[in-house]
Amino acid sequence: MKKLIVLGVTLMMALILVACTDKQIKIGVVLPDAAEERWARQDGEFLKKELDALGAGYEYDILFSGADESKELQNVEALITRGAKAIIITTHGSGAAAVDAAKAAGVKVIAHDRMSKSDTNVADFYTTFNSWNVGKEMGKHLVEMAEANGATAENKVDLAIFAGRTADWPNATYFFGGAMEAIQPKLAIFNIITSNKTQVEALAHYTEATFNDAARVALQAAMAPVDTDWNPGTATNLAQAVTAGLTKGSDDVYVLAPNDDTSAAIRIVFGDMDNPYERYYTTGQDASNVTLASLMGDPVKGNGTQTMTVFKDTSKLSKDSVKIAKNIVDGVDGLTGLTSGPSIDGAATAYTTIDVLLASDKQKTYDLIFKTGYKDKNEATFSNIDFSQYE
Amino acid sequence: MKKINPVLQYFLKIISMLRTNIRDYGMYIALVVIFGVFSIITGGLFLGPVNFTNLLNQTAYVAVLAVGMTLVIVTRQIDLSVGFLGAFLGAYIVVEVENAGASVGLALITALIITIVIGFIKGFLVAKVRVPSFVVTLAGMFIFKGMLLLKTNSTTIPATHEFFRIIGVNYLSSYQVGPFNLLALILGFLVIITLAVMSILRYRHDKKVGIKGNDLSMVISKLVFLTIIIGFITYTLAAYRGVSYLIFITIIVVIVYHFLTTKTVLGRRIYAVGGNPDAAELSGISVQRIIIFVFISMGVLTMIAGLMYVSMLRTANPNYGISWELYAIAATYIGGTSANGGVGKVINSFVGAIVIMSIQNGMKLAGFPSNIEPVVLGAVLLLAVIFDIYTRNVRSIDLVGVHYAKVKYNEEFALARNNYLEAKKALKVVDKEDNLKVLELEFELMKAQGQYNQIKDRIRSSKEEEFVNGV
Repeated sequence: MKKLIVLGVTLMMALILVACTDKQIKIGVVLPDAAEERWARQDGEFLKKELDALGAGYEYDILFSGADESKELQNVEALITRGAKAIIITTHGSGAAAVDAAKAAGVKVIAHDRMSKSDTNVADFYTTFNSWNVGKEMGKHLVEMAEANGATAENKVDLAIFAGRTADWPNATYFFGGAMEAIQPKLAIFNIITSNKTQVEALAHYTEATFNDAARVALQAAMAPVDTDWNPGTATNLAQAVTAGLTKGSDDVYVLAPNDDTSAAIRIVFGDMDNPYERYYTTGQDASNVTLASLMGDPVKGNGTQTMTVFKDTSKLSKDSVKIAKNIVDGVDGLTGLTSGPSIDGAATAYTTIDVLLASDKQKTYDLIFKTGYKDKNEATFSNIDFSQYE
Repeated sequence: MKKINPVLQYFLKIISMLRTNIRDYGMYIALVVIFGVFSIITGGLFLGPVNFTNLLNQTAYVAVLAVGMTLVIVTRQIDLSVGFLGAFLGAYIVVEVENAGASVGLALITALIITIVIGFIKGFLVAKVRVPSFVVTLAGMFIFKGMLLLKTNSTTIPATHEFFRIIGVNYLSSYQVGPFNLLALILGFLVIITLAVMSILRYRHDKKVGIKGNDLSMVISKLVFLTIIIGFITYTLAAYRGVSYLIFITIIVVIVYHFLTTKTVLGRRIYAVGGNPDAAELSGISVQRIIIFVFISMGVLTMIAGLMYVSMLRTANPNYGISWELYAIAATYIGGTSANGGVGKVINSFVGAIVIMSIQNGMKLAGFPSNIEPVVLGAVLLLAVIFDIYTRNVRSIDLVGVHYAKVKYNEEFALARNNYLEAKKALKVVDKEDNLKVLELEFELMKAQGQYNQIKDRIRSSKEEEFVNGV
């Protein structure tokens, strides 16, 4: 009897599973990793919302690749088999296998915030925030703050530079390149305290328009010694390597941190110094919970003070990706009704706008993040913040 | 017989000891080389007080995992799940304390219960159901990764409670004497005294019961060497902030497990099970219980490591836990633990963890591009294991005895060597057509070679006491 029940349940579950996976779809979505807040809670949710809104005729499915490129390929193949006309994909690595498989099957590929290409094929569309500008905003913030505090070529201030995962092409390099575009002309007012001092000082002035292979090589050489791997643990070790032998050159320090999670890890290390800097300025991006707590004035749950982050409203990005997918299913030009950017690697590019959040403008942070419902102010991480003054 | 020069005798003894026990000392030599290289590259910064303290703090979680992993590997098992299990348990404690408002004690106790249950299940599946541990813990790896994502809800959660600050950031005491942390000095001094008393007691005990080979000059040399090392560590830690809780917990774990593995019945049983499970079973040891115990102990240490990590970074993050198990396993192998079971020391795994983290720390400090780091790490791991295999069957040598033997058998040796060389030469010049003569000479050569090898071997295996007491 017991065995029969088990058998019955197993069969039913198998049937349900088959019913689910056999459903025909029009649009497929492949995201890299459910472990990252970014994909699980932001893009994943927003894409789902936008796709749900399309309704009948635009059936879809969202799959996660668990930071594994072979799983990614399996996901793409599964979606093709189920009839997808367009695949929105954020690849874990280069996405070569995934884009080749889709191209071979004649399915249009929309690279969602991360370029996917192989030697022979490239995604048809690329939706992204302008990464170069993200970095430029970070660099600009540090330069502005340093100049406001009276830094000059005679009165230099300390600058620590950290980078994202160099292998995360082109994003990490573009962030870094953008930041350097803003910092490089003002390098005379800074004293670099990280181990990539020589490489940074050797950099020419690159802009997004003049970016080429030589620029890529030079920028990545400056990134490699301070590669955080997007990982707070690695960032901590790197920052400890900086502070271990540090002779402070100024009372304030300016820290280029590639994203919010690493930024938090780095400022904890700087805060633990024997005689910490009096003023600490740092950047980030993603608007993570910890960073938002810090920007809203809670250094406890915010793990110290972050002065700036770039908020990339992924709901806007997701809207653009879904719009392109809908255009493809409808049979019209993919970029219809979108702002196109310069073609990157041969893919038609749509740029989504970015927002800069500053610790000095809490009202803006409130308006863009909490008022819009992008984040829930009742989350435990925000419990120390009094929101009433902004409402 | 003429007495040997005492200075020469002393050095011969030291070299004999190193050569005989090369397997135990190899890793320390590697560590000295790594420390030396990074010190030179970084202009002394690497072994400076701040960085050395950072290095030990960064090593803490890997070291605790490596201690548990040693027992797992000694019993011929493997545990791939400790990385994500540790990150999950760390996240569990943080989320319970920060978001659910539980008290630290309650969170710790529930985490402990969870990890004991998980350890029991792993051990039960491996020992009773006989699923290979590789498979059980691989499944565990996926499961705990998922649980980590669920628990953190894929967000970063700040660990703000004072408890996390104490574990991850604070130092035992900040009382300074001049530029030095008093407690660190006292602790270092106590360790040295304890070691001195222990080795003298050991020496006297050995002498009383007649265990040979524990020469007084060697005991003192070892002690002096250890005193210099511990003195250096003490000085370096004391010159910065003293002993952090991370370092303190690690040392406690290492001491407890060292005691457990070397001085208790349970420890001996663990090694017996690893060495030969069938023989252990036949001699009345419950292999299943031992394996279940080993997995539970791994689980408890995993929880400690996870707690250390989230406290150190003061956040719980869905990205934590990646490669922890690989670092722990690598540290264990670098520490000379045998993949065939039955062999491995907790202390050596601890040093293996320091080797791994030294490479990571040193390369970051020196500003190497990040992509070189794993290559160096892999090369060191491979070299360590190759070294271990080559030194597995090293014969013990007593160079003092060899020295005496060389004097004593000098003439015999010269004669045998001469005979051998003569025979070789004779075979070379002989007319190759004369088969009978060639055969005869070949036989002569074989005989001479045999005698030559015999006398060489006799010299090689001579012991000091054969000459000092015997003549």
